[in-house]
Amino acid sequence: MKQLRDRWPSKSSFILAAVSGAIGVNALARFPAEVAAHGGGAFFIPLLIAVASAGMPMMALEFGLGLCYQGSIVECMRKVDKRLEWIGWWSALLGALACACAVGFMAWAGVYVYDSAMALLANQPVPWAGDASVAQGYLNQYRQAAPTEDVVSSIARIKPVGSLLLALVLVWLLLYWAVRRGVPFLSDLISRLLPIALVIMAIFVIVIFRQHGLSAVDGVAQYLEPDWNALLRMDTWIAAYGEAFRSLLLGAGVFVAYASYRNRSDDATATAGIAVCAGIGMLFLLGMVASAAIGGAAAAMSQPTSDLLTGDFDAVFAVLASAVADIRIVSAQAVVSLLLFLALFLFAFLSALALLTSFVTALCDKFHLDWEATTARACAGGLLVTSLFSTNLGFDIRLAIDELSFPFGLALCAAAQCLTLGWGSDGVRRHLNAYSVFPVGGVWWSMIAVVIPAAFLAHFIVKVQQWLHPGSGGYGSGATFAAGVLPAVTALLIALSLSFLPRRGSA
Amino acid sequence: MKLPSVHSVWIVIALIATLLGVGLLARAKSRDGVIYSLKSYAVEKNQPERKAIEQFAGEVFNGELGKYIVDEKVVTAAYNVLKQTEVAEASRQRLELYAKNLLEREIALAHSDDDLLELGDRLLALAASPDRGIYRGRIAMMSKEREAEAAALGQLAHAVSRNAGAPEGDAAFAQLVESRLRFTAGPHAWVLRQNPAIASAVESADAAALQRFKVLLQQAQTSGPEMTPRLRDAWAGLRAMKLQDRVEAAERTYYAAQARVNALPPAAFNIAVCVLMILVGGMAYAIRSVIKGPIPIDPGAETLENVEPIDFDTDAETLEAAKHRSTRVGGESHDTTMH
Repeated sequence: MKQLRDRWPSKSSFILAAVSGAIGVNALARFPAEVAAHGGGAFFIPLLIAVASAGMPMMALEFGLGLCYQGSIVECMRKVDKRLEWIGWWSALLGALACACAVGFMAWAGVYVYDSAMALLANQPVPWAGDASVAQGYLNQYRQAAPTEDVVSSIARIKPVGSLLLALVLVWLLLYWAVRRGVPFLSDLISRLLPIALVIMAIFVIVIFRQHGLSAVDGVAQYLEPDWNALLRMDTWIAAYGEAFRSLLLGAGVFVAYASYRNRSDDATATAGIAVCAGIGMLFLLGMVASAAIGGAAAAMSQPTSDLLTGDFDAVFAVLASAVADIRIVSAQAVVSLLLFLALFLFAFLSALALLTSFVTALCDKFHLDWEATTARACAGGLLVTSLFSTNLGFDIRLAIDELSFPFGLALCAAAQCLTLGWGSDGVRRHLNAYSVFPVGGVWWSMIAVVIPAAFLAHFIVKVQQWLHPGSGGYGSGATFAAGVLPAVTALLIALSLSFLPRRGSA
Repeated sequence: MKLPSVHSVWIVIALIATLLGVGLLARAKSRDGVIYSLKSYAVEKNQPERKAIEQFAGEVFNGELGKYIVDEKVVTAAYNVLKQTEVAEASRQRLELYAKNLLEREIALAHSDDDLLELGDRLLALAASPDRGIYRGRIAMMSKEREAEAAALGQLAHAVSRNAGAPEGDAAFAQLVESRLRFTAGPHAWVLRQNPAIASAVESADAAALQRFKVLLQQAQTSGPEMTPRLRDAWAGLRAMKLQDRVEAAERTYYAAQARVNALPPAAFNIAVCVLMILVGGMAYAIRSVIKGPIPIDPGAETLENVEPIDFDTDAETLEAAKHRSTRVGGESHDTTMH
């Protein structure tokens, strides 16, 4: 009687899955504003340094863990030291929270896909046709304009939105359908969906530059024009380290789970290099596409591009939507809108697939559960949790959790993983050196054991300062507590509880 | 057919959520329908139909005023019907009473809700209440302790106006933006605006900021097309205060056009090329290294020295071909053909 673990059908399918996990929708949703706020083109210097000194070593560590110990992040931490299992659970639970945020994004993108399709069928302009203020108005019909700083008062005003709830049900059904069939099916799905999403984005680039010409160039120029003084600011470097991790979905155990479905003797370091370069490359290019669209939308509104880059308009659902909404041929406008939101939906879907697979793997590894049944339970639980996003405050709650759960949760969790693995165990390093193309040594160790924990502790301290002194920027103290501290602490408490539960099948 | 229990749970949750979603959509449509029906009263000529709408408006109106917080659009539509009927005065009094109760409740709270106070004020206006002025006065008194701060803002506005185009006004302008935001960006912005002293100070701050931008823009127009950092700062200040829309359209368009670049600056182009070269080069090198494999395995490597034995079969060959199987990490198999 043997216990089996499925495998990626080929090395290329594993690499493709890793790359798909490393491309997030953040590139379009948040990255251009992040770049603009931290020195424009100059931001890429700290970003590349952060990628080389933190992203790449962490990705290699995650791959190494998965390959060496053949399990989820929970299982790997337990095998390193039983007392570290809670770190694995914390990571898995925060990954599940990130999955919920990706699902929330998919639901919104799904509503836009539906509206575009309806506009196409009726040969009518899309409902957000006009400039960014019209598109923002369309978005705000489902959304309270801005949550007040008084969290209790905001909660009292929550109203459910039916179309978003239906979209969430469909998204979770879709995820269940994809994940329940296991890794070989995921491999097939990813190898089809990723090229489709990339081709759609290429079409979108052509449309944007044809439609907006020099205004699009202005957007790209604003994105890349460097402000070298920003390199002297601490917040630029902290933002770069945060972006390197968040964009690549590091710290949530995604790549540990993916690697655990490969043969133990597979390469980790070169694969990590491919995934990181592809992920950051796509982040850079999609950021450029979004900036071009923002430039076009700004020209249509007679506003400086910088206003839309860092302004109150939502980057995706207002600015990108309006950038295609001024196409004069109505059917073409609907088709391009449909394709744009479909591509966004697919990017978020690929991220959600990776995060959900990682979480289900953690549950199955620990409790030896049936994969399909566990996927069903995880999706049902996810639907209950994300029903909060199907309200008039859901959009802002999702944004706040997405932004704040990182410094208070994943950053600390990643720092804990690196400290414990860097100082407490040499197994992964020796495994990497035995089987990988590029050996790792003292430099890699110092990045894992010193640089990454230091960077994320600094990130955490800055966010705590902003929390305690909300006037200095960021969210209000109540919102920071509700969307950042509370989820992270709750996840930590659940993680501690789960780590005390006995592991089934470990006779 | 008996479903496995876990599937039943999943199906039940999905069904409940779907029904809830459909119910919510139906409720939203129903609300739109109510408002549409009530608005049709104005154009309806048929007397029996008008009577029916009046009756419906009465039911909706009474139902809404029974709630803790009314739906303003619905109550307004219903009241607009009722005020044309014989129950106009009774309805007006009822609405006024509701608004007064709401305002009394909120004014008495230590942390009153700005939106509810504003709603109460609007309902008093809808009911044409003679007491609206009294309530506005009471609301204004809620921010009395900020009047000294408002006076300081007024002085800052004066200092900025005096040095509108001069560098001496830069520091005052930065303070002005910060100080003005304390009045308008917080959770009690509406309440603060009801205080005449504060409203006047904020208005002078806005006027000073707009004047400063105008003067700096005129200087830029005469001195050349270069965008000065002071002009950028002035615009950034206006943006922070959300005053862009109060800049004249021609000036806004001129500024936006000046701030736009029509060619990629060399530094930006170099950065793009360098970033892409590093990333594409790194990826190509990694792909080449992977393709060059297989890597000779170090027979001396003891990779599992300090870990417990892996308790899964990790022989990749066994499942390489099985493309459509479930991912099993905990399930059991009786497959004895594996080696």
